[in-house]
Amino acid sequence: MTALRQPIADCDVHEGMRSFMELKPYLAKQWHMYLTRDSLGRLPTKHAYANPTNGTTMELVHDDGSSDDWFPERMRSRLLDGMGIDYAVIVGVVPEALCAMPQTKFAAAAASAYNDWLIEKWLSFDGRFKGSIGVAAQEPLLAAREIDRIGSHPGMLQVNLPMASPLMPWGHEYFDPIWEAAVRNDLRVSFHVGTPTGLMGAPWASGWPATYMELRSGFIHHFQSGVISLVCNGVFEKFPKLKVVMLEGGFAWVPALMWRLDQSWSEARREVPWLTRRPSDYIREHVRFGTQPFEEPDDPAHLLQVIDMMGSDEMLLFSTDYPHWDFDAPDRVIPANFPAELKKKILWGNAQQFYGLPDPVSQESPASVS
Amino acid sequence: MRAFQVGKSRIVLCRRGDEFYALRDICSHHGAQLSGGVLGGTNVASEVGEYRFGRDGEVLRCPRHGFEFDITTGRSLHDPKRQRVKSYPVVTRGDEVFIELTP
Repeated sequence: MTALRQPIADCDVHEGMRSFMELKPYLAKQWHMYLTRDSLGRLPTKHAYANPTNGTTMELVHDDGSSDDWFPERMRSRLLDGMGIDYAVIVGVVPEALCAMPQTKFAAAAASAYNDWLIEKWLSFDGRFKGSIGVAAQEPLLAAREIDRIGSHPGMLQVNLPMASPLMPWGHEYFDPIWEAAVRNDLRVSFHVGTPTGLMGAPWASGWPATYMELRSGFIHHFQSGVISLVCNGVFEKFPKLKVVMLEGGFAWVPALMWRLDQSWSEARREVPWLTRRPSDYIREHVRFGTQPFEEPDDPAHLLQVIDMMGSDEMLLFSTDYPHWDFDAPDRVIPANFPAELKKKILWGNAQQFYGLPDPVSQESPASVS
Repeated sequence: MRAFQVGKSRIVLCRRGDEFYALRDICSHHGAQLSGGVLGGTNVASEVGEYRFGRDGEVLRCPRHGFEFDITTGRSLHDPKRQRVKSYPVVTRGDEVFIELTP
Protein backbone atom coordinates (compact mmCIF):
# COMPACT_ATOMS: atom_id res chain seq x y z
CA MET A 1 0.00 0.00 0.00
CA THR A 2 1.18 3.49 -0.74
CA ALA A 3 0.39 6.68 1.08
CA LEU A 4 -1.56 9.25 -0.91
CA ARG A 5 -0.16 12.76 -1.22
CA GLN A 6 -3.05 14.47 0.47
CA PRO A 7 -4.53 14.71 3.95
CA ILE A 8 -6.71 11.78 4.97
CA ALA A 9 -9.08 11.38 7.87
CA ASP A 10 -10.05 7.80 8.58
CA CYS A 11 -13.38 7.95 10.38
CA ASP A 12 -13.74 4.33 11.44
CA VAL A 13 -10.80 2.56 13.05
CA HIS A 14 -10.98 -0.15 15.68
CA GLU A 15 -8.43 -0.57 18.38
CA GLY A 16 -7.92 -4.07 19.61
CA MET A 17 -8.12 -5.32 23.15
CA ARG A 18 -6.28 -8.43 24.27
CA SER A 19 -9.11 -9.22 26.63
CA PHE A 20 -11.76 -7.43 28.63
CA MET A 21 -9.36 -7.80 31.58
CA GLU A 22 -7.40 -4.86 30.15
CA LEU A 23 -10.13 -2.69 31.65
CA LYS A 24 -9.72 -4.07 35.17
CA PRO A 25 -7.33 -1.34 36.38
CA TYR A 26 -9.86 1.28 35.27
CA LEU A 27 -12.91 -0.41 36.73
CA ALA A 28 -14.02 0.33 40.31
CA LYS A 29 -13.62 -2.62 42.67
CA GLN A 30 -17.33 -3.21 43.17
CA TRP A 31 -17.46 -4.47 39.60
CA HIS A 32 -14.58 -6.92 39.82
CA MET A 33 -17.06 -9.60 40.86
CA TYR A 34 -17.91 -9.97 37.19
CA LEU A 35 -14.35 -10.23 35.97
CA THR A 36 -14.08 -14.00 36.08
CA ARG A 37 -13.37 -16.25 33.14
CA ASP A 38 -16.88 -17.63 32.80
CA SER A 39 -18.64 -14.31 33.32
CA LEU A 40 -16.53 -12.55 30.73
CA GLY A 41 -17.28 -15.35 28.30
CA ARG A 42 -20.95 -14.42 28.49
CA LEU A 43 -20.61 -10.72 27.91
CA PRO A 44 -22.48 -9.42 24.89
CA THR A 45 -19.17 -8.18 23.56
CA LYS A 46 -18.95 -11.68 22.20
CA HIS A 47 -20.21 -11.66 18.63
CA ALA A 48 -23.35 -13.71 18.01
CA TYR A 49 -22.15 -14.90 14.58
CA ALA A 50 -19.09 -16.80 13.46
CA ASN A 51 -17.40 -14.95 10.62
CA PRO A 52 -16.10 -17.04 7.70
CA THR A 53 -13.38 -14.45 7.08
CA ASN A 54 -12.33 -13.79 10.69
CA GLY A 55 -13.08 -10.48 12.35
CA THR A 56 -9.60 -8.99 12.18
CA THR A 57 -7.92 -9.32 8.82
CA MET A 58 -5.65 -12.36 8.87
CA GLU A 59 -2.84 -10.16 7.61
CA LEU A 60 -2.54 -8.83 11.15
CA VAL A 61 -3.07 -12.03 13.15
CA HIS A 62 -0.07 -13.97 14.42
CA ASP A 63 0.49 -17.63 15.23
CA ASP A 64 0.35 -16.96 18.97
CA GLY A 65 -3.16 -15.56 18.59
CA SER A 66 -2.16 -11.95 19.06
CA SER A 67 -2.95 -9.34 16.46
CA ASP A 68 -1.36 -6.03 15.51
CA ASP A 69 -4.41 -4.00 16.43
CA TRP A 70 -3.71 -4.63 20.12
CA PHE A 71 -0.63 -2.44 19.92
CA PRO A 72 -0.77 1.34 19.35
CA GLU A 73 2.77 1.39 17.96
CA ARG A 74 1.91 -1.18 15.30
CA MET A 75 -1.29 0.65 14.42
CA ARG A 76 0.75 3.79 14.08
CA SER A 77 3.28 2.28 11.75
CA ARG A 78 0.86 0.24 9.64
CA LEU A 79 -2.13 2.57 9.43
CA LEU A 80 -1.03 6.14 10.17
CA ASP A 81 2.43 6.09 8.66
CA GLY A 82 1.94 3.19 6.27
CA MET A 83 -1.21 4.51 4.63
CA GLY A 84 -0.67 8.20 5.24
CA ILE A 85 -3.66 8.62 7.56
CA ASP A 86 -3.51 12.01 9.31
CA TYR A 87 -6.28 11.36 11.78
CA ALA A 88 -7.73 8.01 12.74
CA VAL A 89 -11.03 8.13 14.61
CA ILE A 90 -11.12 5.15 16.95
CA VAL A 91 -14.59 3.67 17.31
CA GLY A 92 -14.79 1.18 20.15
CA VAL A 93 -16.73 -1.96 19.49
CA VAL A 94 -16.48 -3.12 23.11
CA PRO A 95 -18.46 -0.23 24.67
CA GLU A 96 -21.07 -0.18 21.94
CA ALA A 97 -21.79 -3.84 22.66
CA LEU A 98 -22.23 -2.94 26.34
CA CYS A 99 -25.41 -1.16 25.23
CA ALA A 100 -26.96 -4.61 24.88
CA MET A 101 -26.49 -5.48 28.54
CA PRO A 102 -29.47 -5.79 30.85
CA GLN A 103 -27.03 -5.23 33.75
CA THR A 104 -27.08 -1.56 32.95
CA LYS A 105 -25.12 -0.19 35.92
CA PHE A 106 -22.23 -2.51 35.16
CA ALA A 107 -22.42 -1.57 31.49
CA ALA A 108 -22.15 2.11 32.42
CA ALA A 109 -19.17 1.47 34.72
CA ALA A 110 -17.44 -0.63 32.07
CA ALA A 111 -17.98 2.08 29.46
CA SER A 112 -16.33 4.61 31.79
CA ALA A 113 -13.43 2.25 32.32
CA TYR A 114 -13.10 1.86 28.58
CA ASN A 115 -12.96 5.63 28.07
CA ASP A 116 -10.16 6.01 30.60
CA TRP A 117 -8.31 3.07 29.06
CA LEU A 118 -8.73 4.55 25.57
CA ILE A 119 -7.31 7.89 26.64
CA GLU A 120 -4.35 6.39 28.43
CA LYS A 121 -3.42 3.65 25.99
CA TRP A 122 -4.35 5.16 22.62
CA LEU A 123 -5.15 8.86 22.59
CA SER A 124 -2.12 9.74 24.69
CA PHE A 125 0.12 7.62 22.49
CA ASP A 126 -0.26 9.67 19.33
CA GLY A 127 -2.33 12.81 18.73
CA ARG A 128 -3.42 11.44 15.37
CA PHE A 129 -5.55 8.90 17.19
CA LYS A 130 -8.91 10.46 17.99
CA GLY A 131 -11.48 8.89 20.25
CA SER A 132 -15.17 8.09 20.56
CA ILE A 133 -16.79 8.10 23.98
CA GLY A 134 -18.43 4.84 24.93
CA VAL A 135 -21.63 4.98 26.96
CA ALA A 136 -24.34 2.68 28.20
CA ALA A 137 -27.11 4.17 26.08
CA GLN A 138 -29.76 2.04 27.76
CA GLU A 139 -29.20 4.30 30.77
CA PRO A 140 -29.43 7.71 29.07
CA LEU A 141 -28.88 9.74 32.25
CA LEU A 142 -25.76 7.80 33.17
CA ALA A 143 -24.62 8.14 29.58
CA ALA A 144 -25.06 11.91 29.72
CA ARG A 145 -23.10 12.02 32.97
CA GLU A 146 -20.26 10.10 31.37
CA ILE A 147 -20.27 12.40 28.34
CA ASP A 148 -19.98 15.37 30.70
CA ARG A 149 -17.20 13.66 32.65
CA ILE A 150 -14.97 12.92 29.70
CA GLY A 151 -16.34 15.08 26.88
CA SER A 152 -13.86 17.93 27.21
CA HIS A 153 -10.86 15.70 26.53
CA PRO A 154 -9.28 17.16 23.38
CA GLY A 155 -8.88 13.72 21.80
CA MET A 156 -12.57 12.87 22.02
CA LEU A 157 -14.53 13.81 18.91
CA GLN A 158 -17.81 12.05 19.39
CA VAL A 159 -20.06 9.70 21.30
CA ASN A 160 -20.30 6.30 19.67
CA LEU A 161 -23.44 4.19 19.77
CA PRO A 162 -24.50 0.90 18.20
CA MET A 163 -26.67 1.38 15.14
CA ALA A 164 -29.00 -1.24 16.55
CA SER A 165 -30.51 0.64 19.47
CA PRO A 166 -31.28 -0.90 22.84
CA LEU A 167 -34.91 -1.01 24.01
CA MET A 168 -36.46 1.30 21.40
CA PRO A 169 -35.61 3.24 18.25
CA TRP A 170 -33.02 6.03 18.54
CA GLY A 171 -35.50 8.80 17.83
CA HIS A 172 -37.48 8.16 20.99
CA GLU A 173 -37.27 10.95 23.55
CA TYR A 174 -35.95 8.40 26.04
CA PHE A 175 -32.52 9.00 24.51
CA ASP A 176 -32.71 12.81 24.54
CA PRO A 177 -30.24 13.21 27.43
CA ILE A 178 -27.55 11.69 25.21
CA TRP A 179 -28.08 14.14 22.34
CA GLU A 180 -28.30 16.99 24.80
CA ALA A 181 -25.00 16.04 26.41
CA ALA A 182 -23.28 15.55 23.05
CA VAL A 183 -24.31 19.03 21.90
CA ARG A 184 -23.41 20.53 25.30
CA ASN A 185 -19.89 19.15 24.92
CA ASP A 186 -19.59 20.06 21.24
CA LEU A 187 -19.31 16.40 20.27
CA ARG A 188 -20.64 14.55 17.25
CA VAL A 189 -22.46 11.24 17.52
CA SER A 190 -21.51 8.16 15.53
CA PHE A 191 -23.64 5.10 14.99
CA HIS A 192 -21.61 2.04 14.21
CA VAL A 193 -22.70 -1.26 12.77
CA GLY A 194 -22.86 -4.24 15.07
CA THR A 195 -24.62 -7.50 15.54
CA PRO A 196 -27.59 -6.92 17.77
CA THR A 197 -27.95 -9.02 20.85
CA GLY A 198 -29.42 -8.68 24.33
CA LEU A 199 -31.47 -5.49 24.71
CA MET A 200 -31.09 -4.71 21.02
CA GLY A 201 -33.25 -7.58 19.85
CA ALA A 202 -32.81 -9.52 16.63
CA PRO A 203 -30.77 -8.34 13.64
CA TRP A 204 -33.83 -8.34 11.44
CA ALA A 205 -37.42 -7.51 12.30
CA SER A 206 -38.17 -11.00 11.02
CA GLY A 207 -35.56 -12.63 13.23
CA TRP A 208 -32.11 -14.09 12.88
CA PRO A 209 -30.57 -14.63 9.44
CA ALA A 210 -28.87 -17.98 9.04
CA THR A 211 -25.52 -16.82 7.68
CA TYR A 212 -23.01 -14.09 8.32
CA MET A 213 -23.30 -12.99 4.71
CA GLU A 214 -27.02 -12.33 5.11
CA LEU A 215 -26.37 -10.54 8.37
CA ARG A 216 -23.77 -8.24 6.83
CA SER A 217 -25.86 -7.51 3.75
CA GLY A 218 -28.86 -6.72 5.92
CA PHE A 219 -27.12 -4.30 8.27
CA ILE A 220 -28.56 -1.48 6.17
CA HIS A 221 -31.91 -2.17 7.88
CA HIS A 222 -30.60 -0.69 11.10
CA PHE A 223 -29.17 2.34 9.40
CA GLN A 224 -32.37 3.02 7.55
CA SER A 225 -34.59 2.61 10.59
CA GLY A 226 -32.19 4.70 12.66
CA VAL A 227 -32.20 7.58 10.18
CA ILE A 228 -35.98 7.39 9.82
CA SER A 229 -36.47 7.43 13.57
CA LEU A 230 -34.08 10.32 14.28
CA VAL A 231 -35.58 12.47 11.54
CA CYS A 232 -39.28 11.77 12.08
CA ASN A 233 -39.18 12.10 15.84
CA GLY A 234 -37.76 15.57 15.47
CA VAL A 235 -34.39 14.95 17.13
CA PHE A 236 -32.78 17.48 14.77
CA GLU A 237 -35.53 20.01 15.50
CA LYS A 238 -34.90 19.63 19.23
CA PHE A 239 -31.12 19.62 18.86
CA PRO A 240 -30.32 21.72 15.80
CA LYS A 241 -26.60 21.50 16.48
CA LEU A 242 -26.55 17.73 16.58
CA LYS A 243 -24.56 16.11 13.76
CA VAL A 244 -24.33 12.38 13.36
CA VAL A 245 -22.42 9.92 11.22
CA MET A 246 -23.45 6.42 10.22
CA LEU A 247 -20.50 4.04 10.08
CA GLU A 248 -20.29 0.83 8.08
CA GLY A 249 -23.71 0.96 6.55
CA GLY A 250 -22.73 2.10 3.07
CA PHE A 251 -24.51 4.95 1.33
CA ALA A 252 -26.01 3.86 -1.99
CA TRP A 253 -29.38 3.38 -0.31
CA VAL A 254 -29.53 6.96 0.97
CA PRO A 255 -31.22 8.57 -2.07
CA ALA A 256 -33.94 5.91 -2.09
CA LEU A 257 -34.59 6.48 1.60
CA MET A 258 -34.73 10.25 1.08
CA TRP A 259 -37.32 9.84 -1.65
CA ARG A 260 -39.39 7.47 0.37
CA LEU A 261 -39.32 9.65 3.47
CA ASP A 262 -40.25 12.75 1.50
CA GLN A 263 -43.07 10.89 -0.13
CA SER A 264 -44.40 9.59 3.19
CA TRP A 265 -44.15 13.10 4.57
CA SER A 266 -46.20 14.54 1.72
CA GLU A 267 -48.95 12.11 2.63
CA ALA A 268 -48.71 11.96 6.42
CA ARG A 269 -47.21 15.31 7.37
CA ARG A 270 -49.88 15.91 10.02
CA GLU A 271 -48.51 12.99 12.01
CA VAL A 272 -45.16 14.77 12.44
CA PRO A 273 -46.24 18.42 12.48
CA TRP A 274 -43.02 19.43 14.26
CA LEU A 275 -40.97 18.90 11.12
CA THR A 276 -40.45 22.25 9.43
CA ARG A 277 -38.61 20.88 6.41
CA ARG A 278 -38.70 17.85 4.19
CA PRO A 279 -37.12 14.79 5.84
CA SER A 280 -34.38 14.69 3.20
CA ASP A 281 -33.36 18.23 4.14
CA TYR A 282 -32.62 17.09 7.70
CA ILE A 283 -30.57 14.19 6.38
CA ARG A 284 -28.48 16.42 4.14
CA GLU A 285 -27.82 18.86 6.97
CA HIS A 286 -27.33 16.55 9.95
CA VAL A 287 -26.31 13.09 8.78
CA ARG A 288 -23.03 11.86 7.31
CA PHE A 289 -22.09 8.41 6.09
CA GLY A 290 -18.84 6.51 6.41
CA THR A 291 -17.72 5.12 3.06
CA GLN A 292 -16.70 1.64 4.16
CA PRO A 293 -17.64 -0.87 2.91
CA PHE A 294 -17.39 1.16 -0.28
CA GLU A 295 -20.17 0.34 -2.71
CA GLU A 296 -18.83 -1.58 -5.72
CA PRO A 297 -21.25 -1.46 -8.65
CA ASP A 298 -20.12 -2.96 -11.96
CA ASP A 299 -19.94 0.54 -13.39
CA PRO A 300 -18.33 3.00 -10.95
CA ALA A 301 -19.96 5.87 -12.85
CA HIS A 302 -23.18 4.83 -11.17
CA LEU A 303 -21.74 5.92 -7.83
CA LEU A 304 -21.34 9.46 -9.11
CA GLN A 305 -25.02 9.36 -9.97
CA VAL A 306 -25.82 8.17 -6.45
CA ILE A 307 -23.88 11.07 -4.95
CA ASP A 308 -25.67 13.43 -7.31
CA MET A 309 -28.99 11.97 -6.15
CA MET A 310 -28.04 12.50 -2.52
CA GLY A 311 -27.99 16.18 -3.38
CA SER A 312 -24.71 16.89 -1.64
CA ASP A 313 -21.10 15.82 -2.06
CA GLU A 314 -20.38 16.67 1.56
CA MET A 315 -22.07 13.69 3.16
CA LEU A 316 -19.42 11.01 2.71
CA LEU A 317 -16.57 10.51 5.17
CA PHE A 318 -13.78 8.18 4.21
CA SER A 319 -13.26 5.25 6.54
CA THR A 320 -11.13 2.13 6.42
CA ASP A 321 -12.62 -0.03 9.19
CA TYR A 322 -9.05 -1.04 9.93
CA PRO A 323 -8.15 -3.67 11.11
CA HIS A 324 -11.25 -5.62 10.20
CA TRP A 325 -11.32 -8.19 7.44
CA ASP A 326 -13.31 -6.02 5.03
CA PHE A 327 -11.28 -2.85 5.45
CA ASP A 328 -10.88 -0.34 2.61
CA ALA A 329 -7.44 0.92 1.63
CA PRO A 330 -7.36 4.65 0.88
CA ASP A 331 -5.25 4.28 -2.25
CA ARG A 332 -7.43 1.56 -3.77
CA VAL A 333 -11.01 2.06 -2.85
CA ILE A 334 -12.10 5.34 -4.42
CA PRO A 335 -12.86 4.71 -8.09
CA ALA A 336 -10.50 6.31 -10.59
CA ASN A 337 -13.39 8.08 -12.32
CA PHE A 338 -14.12 10.23 -9.25
CA PRO A 339 -13.15 13.88 -9.88
CA ALA A 340 -10.14 15.04 -7.85
CA GLU A 341 -12.20 17.59 -5.90
CA LEU A 342 -14.73 15.00 -4.83
CA LYS A 343 -12.01 12.56 -3.85
CA LYS A 344 -10.40 15.25 -1.71
CA LYS A 345 -13.68 16.01 0.01
CA ILE A 346 -14.33 12.34 0.77
CA LEU A 347 -10.82 11.65 2.03
CA TRP A 348 -10.40 14.81 4.02
CA GLY A 349 -12.54 17.93 3.55
CA ASN A 350 -15.88 16.52 4.65
CA ALA A 351 -14.43 15.00 7.81
CA GLN A 352 -12.45 18.11 8.59
CA GLN A 353 -15.61 20.16 8.41
CA PHE A 354 -17.73 17.63 10.29
CA TYR A 355 -15.34 17.20 13.22
CA GLY A 356 -13.63 20.58 13.04
CA LEU A 357 -10.24 18.90 12.61
CA PRO A 358 -7.18 21.13 12.44
CA ASP A 359 -5.02 20.96 9.33
CA PRO A 360 -2.54 18.11 9.61
CA VAL A 361 0.85 19.23 10.86
CA SER A 362 4.13 17.40 10.71
CA GLN A 363 3.94 14.70 13.35
CA GLU A 364 6.45 13.55 15.86
CA SER A 365 6.84 10.31 13.95
CA PRO A 366 8.63 10.21 10.58
CA ALA A 367 6.57 11.62 7.71
CA SER A 368 4.90 9.13 5.45
CA VAL A 369 6.60 8.40 2.19
CA SER A 370 4.86 7.87 -1.10
CA MET B 1 -68.10 21.83 0.00
CA ARG B 2 -69.67 21.24 -3.40
CA ALA B 3 -68.29 20.17 -6.76
CA PHE B 4 -69.29 21.64 -10.13
CA GLN B 5 -68.53 20.90 -13.70
CA VAL B 6 -68.36 24.09 -15.77
CA GLY B 7 -67.55 23.36 -19.38
CA LYS B 8 -64.35 21.36 -19.18
CA SER B 9 -63.43 22.64 -15.72
CA ARG B 10 -64.06 20.74 -12.53
CA ILE B 11 -64.40 23.09 -9.61
CA VAL B 12 -64.74 22.46 -5.90
CA LEU B 13 -66.34 25.27 -3.94
CA CYS B 14 -65.48 25.32 -0.24
CA ARG B 15 -67.29 27.31 2.37
CA ARG B 16 -65.87 28.47 5.65
CA GLY B 17 -68.43 30.53 7.57
CA ASP B 18 -69.47 33.27 5.16
CA GLU B 19 -66.39 32.91 3.01
CA PHE B 20 -66.11 30.89 -0.17
CA TYR B 21 -63.07 29.51 -1.92
CA ALA B 22 -62.92 27.76 -5.25
CA LEU B 23 -60.23 25.33 -6.34
CA ARG B 24 -59.69 23.14 -9.33
CA ASP B 25 -61.19 19.83 -8.29
CA ILE B 26 -58.25 17.79 -9.50
CA CYS B 27 -55.39 16.97 -7.18
CA SER B 28 -52.06 18.19 -8.54
CA HIS B 29 -50.47 14.91 -7.48
CA HIS B 30 -52.34 12.07 -9.21
CA GLY B 31 -55.51 13.76 -10.35
CA ALA B 32 -57.97 12.50 -7.75
CA GLN B 33 -61.15 14.48 -7.19
CA LEU B 34 -60.46 16.69 -4.17
CA SER B 35 -64.18 17.14 -3.48
CA GLY B 36 -64.26 13.49 -2.45
CA GLY B 37 -61.90 14.31 0.40
CA VAL B 38 -62.32 15.98 3.75
CA LEU B 39 -62.58 19.71 4.43
CA GLY B 40 -61.40 20.32 7.95
CA GLY B 41 -58.33 21.19 9.98
CA THR B 42 -54.99 19.61 10.52
CA ASN B 43 -52.12 19.32 12.96
CA VAL B 44 -50.24 22.57 12.71
CA ALA B 45 -46.62 23.40 13.56
CA SER B 46 -45.91 22.35 17.12
CA GLU B 47 -43.22 21.53 19.60
CA VAL B 48 -41.60 18.15 18.98
CA GLY B 49 -43.78 15.41 20.40
CA GLU B 50 -46.89 17.60 20.77
CA TYR B 51 -49.94 17.75 18.58
CA ARG B 52 -51.88 20.95 18.01
CA PHE B 53 -55.02 20.97 15.90
CA GLY B 54 -55.77 24.11 13.97
CA ARG B 55 -56.80 25.78 10.70
CA ASP B 56 -60.18 24.14 11.05
CA GLY B 57 -62.19 24.49 7.86
CA GLU B 58 -59.22 25.74 5.84
CA VAL B 59 -57.62 22.51 4.77
CA LEU B 60 -58.88 20.22 2.04
CA ARG B 61 -57.39 16.74 2.22
CA CYS B 62 -57.27 14.65 -0.92
CA PRO B 63 -59.15 11.35 -0.58
CA ARG B 64 -56.39 9.37 -2.28
CA HIS B 65 -52.94 10.05 -0.77
CA GLY B 66 -53.92 12.55 1.88
CA PHE B 67 -52.20 15.59 0.37
CA GLU B 68 -53.41 18.66 2.22
CA PHE B 69 -54.30 21.89 0.40
CA ASP B 70 -54.88 25.34 1.82
CA ILE B 71 -58.29 26.25 0.35
CA THR B 72 -57.44 29.95 0.51
CA THR B 73 -54.49 29.61 -1.85
CA GLY B 74 -54.62 26.17 -3.42
CA ARG B 75 -51.11 25.48 -2.18
CA SER B 76 -50.26 22.20 -0.49
CA LEU B 77 -49.08 22.35 3.10
CA HIS B 78 -46.06 20.09 2.61
CA ASP B 79 -44.66 21.55 -0.61
CA PRO B 80 -46.45 24.83 -1.32
CA LYS B 81 -44.18 25.79 -4.20
CA ARG B 82 -44.44 22.67 -6.28
CA GLN B 83 -47.70 20.99 -5.25
CA ARG B 84 -50.60 23.36 -5.76
CA VAL B 85 -53.98 23.38 -7.42
CA LYS B 86 -55.46 26.30 -9.25
CA SER B 87 -57.40 28.70 -7.06
CA TYR B 88 -60.21 30.81 -8.53
CA PRO B 89 -61.38 34.20 -7.28
CA VAL B 90 -64.85 34.11 -5.71
CA VAL B 91 -67.25 37.02 -5.35
CA THR B 92 -70.50 36.94 -3.42
CA ARG B 93 -73.45 39.26 -4.11
CA GLY B 94 -76.30 38.71 -1.73
CA ASP B 95 -77.18 35.04 -1.91
CA GLU B 96 -75.30 34.52 -5.14
CA VAL B 97 -71.76 33.17 -5.39
CA PHE B 98 -69.71 33.87 -8.53
CA ILE B 99 -66.59 32.02 -9.48
CA GLU B 100 -64.31 33.80 -11.91
CA LEU B 101 -63.07 31.21 -14.36
CA THR B 102 -59.90 32.19 -16.08
CA PRO B 103 -58.46 30.11 -18.89
